[in-house]
Amino acid sequence: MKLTIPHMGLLHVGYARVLESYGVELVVPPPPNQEALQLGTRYSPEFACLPFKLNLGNMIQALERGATDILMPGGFGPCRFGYYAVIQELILKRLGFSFRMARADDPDSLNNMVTTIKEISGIQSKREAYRLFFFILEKLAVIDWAQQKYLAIKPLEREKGKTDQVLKEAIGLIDRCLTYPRLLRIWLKVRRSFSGISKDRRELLQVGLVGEIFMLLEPFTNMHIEEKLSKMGVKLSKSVWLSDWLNDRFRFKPFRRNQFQLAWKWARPYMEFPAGGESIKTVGKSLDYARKGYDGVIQIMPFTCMPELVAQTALSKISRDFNLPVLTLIYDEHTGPTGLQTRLEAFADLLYHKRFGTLLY
Amino acid sequence: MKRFWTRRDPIPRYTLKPGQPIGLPRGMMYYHFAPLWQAFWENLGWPVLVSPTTNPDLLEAGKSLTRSDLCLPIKTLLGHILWLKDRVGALFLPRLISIEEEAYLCPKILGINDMVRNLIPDLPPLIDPMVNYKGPARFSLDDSFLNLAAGLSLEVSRVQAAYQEALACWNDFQKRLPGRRGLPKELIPEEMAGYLFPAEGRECRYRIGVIGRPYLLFDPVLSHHLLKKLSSRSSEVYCYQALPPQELDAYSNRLPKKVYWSLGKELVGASLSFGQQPRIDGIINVSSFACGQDAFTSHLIEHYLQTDSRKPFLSLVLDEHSSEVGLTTRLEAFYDVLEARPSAE
Repeated sequence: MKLTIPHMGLLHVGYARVLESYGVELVVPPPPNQEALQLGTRYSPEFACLPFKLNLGNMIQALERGATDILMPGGFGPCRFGYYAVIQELILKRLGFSFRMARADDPDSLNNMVTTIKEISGIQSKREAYRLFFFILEKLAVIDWAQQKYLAIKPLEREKGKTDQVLKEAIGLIDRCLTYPRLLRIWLKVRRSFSGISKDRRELLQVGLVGEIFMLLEPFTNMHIEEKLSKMGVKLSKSVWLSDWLNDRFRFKPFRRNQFQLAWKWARPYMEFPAGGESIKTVGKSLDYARKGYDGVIQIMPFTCMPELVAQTALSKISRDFNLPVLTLIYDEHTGPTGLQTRLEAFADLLYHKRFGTLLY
Repeated sequence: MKRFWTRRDPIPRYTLKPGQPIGLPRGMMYYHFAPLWQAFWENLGWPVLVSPTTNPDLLEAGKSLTRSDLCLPIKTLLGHILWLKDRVGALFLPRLISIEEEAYLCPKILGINDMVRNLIPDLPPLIDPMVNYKGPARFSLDDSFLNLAAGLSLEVSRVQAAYQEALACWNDFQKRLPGRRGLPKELIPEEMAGYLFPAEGRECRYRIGVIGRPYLLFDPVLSHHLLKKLSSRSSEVYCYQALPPQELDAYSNRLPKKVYWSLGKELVGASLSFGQQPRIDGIINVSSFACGQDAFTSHLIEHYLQTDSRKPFLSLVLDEHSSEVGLTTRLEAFYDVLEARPSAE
């Protein structure tokens, strides 16, 4: 069995080496690129969301490189993600590929996830499978921590590109790590590296990034918006992290509250019931950012994403009520990087002027 | 202690003057629930005002509320609410999360109440009991109506009686649908009923199964008078509710995974069933531009009809910019295919 899992951000850094160390033969698809997107777009329904198309492209690339099994999580709505695996399987089988699609249809259930791990890794003992699963989760937690440090430090760096370098090294170390003691040592080392970066002391614009989970986690789909904004001197706070999403279900970060419930509690006046996906986090966290006095909020969503459209209407009201600038960016396969750069620069300009009285550019 | 996410906010008190009409917007789930809702309020003694059939002004008003990419049926519903808001004492728009086990409605329908509150200023009281079979807190259809008793300051027995009678009306309405080819005669404009239910003896050459959401098909403006065009070509139109629910379920259970949207599931089941019925000559699948669900359910329909059925099939995507001429051309091509087929399938 040659297993492949489509990309989402740095997910592969969490699981790839760990599963390989247990003897699983993995085919990691090439990093998301234009080829994957074009392949996926060609064979997907026209109004399928962008994550679907990129996933399909990744799957085709992996199958062409010899994968025999695909692991794809699912769900039961309300958003479309839960049905991706079914449609993708129909498309791929019709294209002539032969493979087995393993649907992890209940990502909320620990039992289901551990059983899946047992199946794909061939581990006999359930205890060992639990251990493996939680180790992957801890790695993902450290990866997210490193990315948060990156977002906090990069706008202030004196030496251009130093923070990117430290982050890249950190990800490389975490990738190769296979044991808990080593993970702890890596965390301490990376902490020292980040502290060692020489930083300016100045006030930064504070902007919240909210929206659909895949777009927020996968830099290729959002066209490296975090890098672009950090370069402009904007400190970003992301509302959705993969380790938070997993922590809400599996509780491996002891001091981190359930972000979904927290966001729902905050979002009540503007969204009484979650419309699916991460829409409740979009609304709840934006409210939190508004109350904390952030300079602005950027909402990122794929075209036709239904829950985020509902959240967008709530955001427009939050924007009016709190006088908070909100920029909604809707991506599909035709979005161009130049247009995006222009819009971001204009937004940052206006925010800068609103706060500091002068223009950024 | 009940966790916060299973509690609803304290039941709001609605101050309704007797005799002031209750507004029912003609859109989205109106086409499924209207007989129930209308009978309920009339039994309690409040007249019901239904917004008129969609017209271009209504549509414009709804479209200009928000710049977002919401699908046109939702924007139409917003337009209907805008028309109603100054003419009624209260609006009735239940919050429909899920109307059956194991399936949701479209996420935009889940969020329509929030959208209305966030986008439209100066709303009259919005009566929105929750119907949610999926949880985390379960509110059945019965619960949703009985919970209104406290909010309206009425005795539960009176509300219960009104609801039971309305429920009986609604069940009768649903039982009549298969006999009427799935067309809800009570809910469509008179003109439409005129050509959909032609006088006896009128020639019918083709029986077309039209797979589409009722709030799209039975709205003349949104559907670009599609049903009229079909009827004028001596065709009998069959909609998804022409089939009894058990048959729809039987077909939709054949899929590798059950579709978890109520309407989507029934549409897929209906198209698979139509594909197997010898009486149906051809199938047309109609959807809105950028409809999220239809991106996937249309794909399922096309896939399974291609493999399992040999009937002529036409897929249409409609939006407000669709040209009448383009639509007519495609229909003519479809009818050419139908005519070229031998009559015995």
